Amino acid sequence: MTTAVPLLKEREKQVYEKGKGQFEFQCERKSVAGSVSQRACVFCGSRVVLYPVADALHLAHGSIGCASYTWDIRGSVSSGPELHRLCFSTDLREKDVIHGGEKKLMQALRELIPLHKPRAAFVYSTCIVGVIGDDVQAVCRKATEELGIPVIPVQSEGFNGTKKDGYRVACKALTTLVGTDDTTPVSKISINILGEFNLAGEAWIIKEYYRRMGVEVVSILTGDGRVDHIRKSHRAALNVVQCSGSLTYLAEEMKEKYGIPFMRVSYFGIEDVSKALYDVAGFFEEEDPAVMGKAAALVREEVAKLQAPMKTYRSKLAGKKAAIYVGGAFKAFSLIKILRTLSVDVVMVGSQTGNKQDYAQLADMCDPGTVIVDDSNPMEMSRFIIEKDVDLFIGGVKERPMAFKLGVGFCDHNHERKTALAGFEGTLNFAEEVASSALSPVWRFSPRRSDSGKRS
Amino acid sequence: MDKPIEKPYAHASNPCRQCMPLGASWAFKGIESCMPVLHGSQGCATYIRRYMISHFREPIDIASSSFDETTVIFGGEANLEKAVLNVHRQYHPRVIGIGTTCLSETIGDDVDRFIIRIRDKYPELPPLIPVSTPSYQGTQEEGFLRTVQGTVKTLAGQYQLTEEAIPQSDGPLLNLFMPMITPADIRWLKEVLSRMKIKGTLLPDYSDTLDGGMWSEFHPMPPGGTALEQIIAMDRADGSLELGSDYPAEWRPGYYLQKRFGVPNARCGLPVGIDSTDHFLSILSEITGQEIPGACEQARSRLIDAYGDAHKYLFGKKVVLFGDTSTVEALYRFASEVGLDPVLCFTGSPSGILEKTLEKLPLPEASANPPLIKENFDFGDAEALIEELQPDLLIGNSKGYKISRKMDIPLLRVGFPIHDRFGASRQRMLGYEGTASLLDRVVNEVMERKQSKSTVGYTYI
Ligand code: SF4
Ligand code: SF4
Repeated sequence: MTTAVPLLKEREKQVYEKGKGQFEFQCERKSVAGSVSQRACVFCGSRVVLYPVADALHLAHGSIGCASYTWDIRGSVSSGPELHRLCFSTDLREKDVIHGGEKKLMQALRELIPLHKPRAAFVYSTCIVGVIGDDVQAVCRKATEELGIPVIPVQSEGFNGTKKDGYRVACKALTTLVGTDDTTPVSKISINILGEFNLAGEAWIIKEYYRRMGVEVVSILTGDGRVDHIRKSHRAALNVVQCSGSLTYLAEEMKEKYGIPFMRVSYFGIEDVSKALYDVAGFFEEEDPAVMGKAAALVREEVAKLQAPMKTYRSKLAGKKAAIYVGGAFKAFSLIKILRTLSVDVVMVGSQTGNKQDYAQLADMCDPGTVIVDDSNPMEMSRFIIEKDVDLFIGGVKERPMAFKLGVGFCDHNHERKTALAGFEGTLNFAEEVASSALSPVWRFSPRRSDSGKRS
Repeated sequence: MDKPIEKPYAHASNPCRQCMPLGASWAFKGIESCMPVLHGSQGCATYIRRYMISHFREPIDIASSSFDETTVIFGGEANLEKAVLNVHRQYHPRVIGIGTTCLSETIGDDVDRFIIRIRDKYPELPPLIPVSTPSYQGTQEEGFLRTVQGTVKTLAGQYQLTEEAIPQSDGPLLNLFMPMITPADIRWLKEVLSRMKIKGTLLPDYSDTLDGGMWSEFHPMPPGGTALEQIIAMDRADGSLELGSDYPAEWRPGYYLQKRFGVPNARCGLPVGIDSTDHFLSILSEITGQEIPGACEQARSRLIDAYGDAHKYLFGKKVVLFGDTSTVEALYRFASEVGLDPVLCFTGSPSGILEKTLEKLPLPEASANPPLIKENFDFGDAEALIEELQPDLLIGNSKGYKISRKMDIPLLRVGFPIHDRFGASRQRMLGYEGTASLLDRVVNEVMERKQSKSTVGYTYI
């Protein structure tokens, strides 16, 4: 049964069904007031990027909530210090709002830095700081001098744009560290991995591939991140940027300032991981032709391991229908490809922050009838889940209960996941995740699926 | 309110609190067909949704008026108007709840005035309930309370009711107000009222909206909740009962109804444990004139029996209790009753009420010293104290896990949020049965500890 759900008029051009009319898509717009957007804020975007730097102090300057809600929410793991997993806030109260929070901020830094001995500190401005007019830059400068570590302002007032702007702000903060260590020697065949946050140890999987290829990883930005690694990252020969762009700004900046070229890759799905490794090997072909041979051997070996299990999953999942809603559109491309390898049809796909080019490419990749959405909301997505009779939803925590409520399987592909989904082994994990939800017998009882939901 | 308790230093680490609009959204979810709108930037609404979803495992829609740079300069009236209209158009709610955020309060938006103007312009809109919930004034607990009171103030006796909508009942009409408890505990309260033939209006009632069944079709808002008409009719009740700690009168909905409409009001702490449940039932019987049902007597007797069976496992065990004020107070009374030694009780709320309340209570039997009671307190503050106190058990929300892991002290998850265990909504602690279920969990936690730490590996404990 379908309940007609009206689209908000302002959003009509942010939804497109392939095959129906012209593709005149709008995106990169502000969320409509009153729409339950799945987006967060600038602060959120900055937190995504900087959070995994494990030996830095992350101090949210503002009211307590912004800090509370982001305490340890991401699955970025560290092989050493775990300062990023603690939650610090200047906890502004009424009197601070009236008199300003600069003193409190300085005081908080004086308390926290000697106590936790971080290698650097990031100070995130949240919404009210942008209004009460604190000169956070000045406080940070003073603290840097007085406390002997870089104290870096992150201008992430939530209202100042979207999550994407938060990425940019965070990259700006990173640039203040990049290039400050010019002495540590670095190989000629070396890269930085950008936009990889080491969720469930994914950065380690990728790094190991590069090690096997003979490529030195100078710095991962920012998965399992360390301030010292970031400092020397400008000495790498190539920046390899993952996904649709949280770190693209930094890559652009480093290209301009240090002449480091960059390439965009994805580590999700057999096709895309292989391509990423070949592309990097190709880049170093002249310097050392052996890299390509090693990459080829690696891909061959890893793909061979996946053949049999993937075949099993494919036979079980064939014909299932999936909906995808993720943060960045680049991830959606990979997911469509992986689901195809699993013989799963994608009937809805969308992202929080894709741009026009991204959506054109999505429209190109998808089968007719597939619905494409930008900055969607639960109501719209529920409508398409029902209309398209979806078996499986791939998204983030906020979409999970909606899927379950409608008796649909769910797979978490967001920053909060606890299973590694990147690389070859990640692809297998993903297949397993998809299967374990889409094939679960519990959906039989869902009232939407059959009458067995009601007791006879 | 007295002066809020101040911290001796400038930062908060690992907070034991969330913010006011979370409490507001939660309370609004207990009104039938109500859609919450947070007036501020998008992030707050999204984060709060995510935080609540991870606890309740239910779809939770909260709209935002989506501030941007220009809103911050020119004020949020246009955004609020647009948000309300869009929510109205898309969701068709019967009530729209509007909570402010730090941002809209800081720029000085006068939401009450905005709403008067919006209502004038669009008379077709459903009732709009504004509450002021800037987080720098309190935690989710205060936000929840303000919202319940704000709802009553906006609705009770303020709208005409049709003849059919006026509550008819053979039995007494009672308003029952609750702090943040689990959906399962609300269901128990409803059962008691129905057994006592009391027609109750519970507010907020999120027992279905935040813990409902699977859907066969799409619902813009989950079914359930206190009906608008019921809230409007609250001024006609025979009495009100407020559950929870002794919050200041000016925060309380029952107190308001008494002052404004002369509805008699009573208050009692959450009925956890024998004494508190006895007290609750007797107050209930007193204000409504109904008898306490016999089934309660049997449940009570079973609980006493369980207390007897459990006492040796528990006597003198040191516990740390934390969470919101009403929950910690209730746990404290329960702990005293079963022979536990509550060595430290803390809350993130700065209201000062926990301390005032617990100080008046007699020293628990098993305690050598009075407990440490801390307010406006975070896990960062608690860590050193807990290290020193070496308790046997922590009872509170999931955020205590860092300490639990670090110091190898078991944590029994009770309250909000519970992000790392299953079935938070089905947890019970109210009434004799609820207390029995809490008791089972506490004893089992102690037993499991004893068993796993013993070199013998006892199979009978
Ligand atoms: S700004 Fe205020 S309302 Fe928004 S999340 Fe932060 S504390 Fe909560
Ligand atoms: S107050 Fe601003 S920065 Fe904080 S969560 Fe809300 S939108 Fe984001």
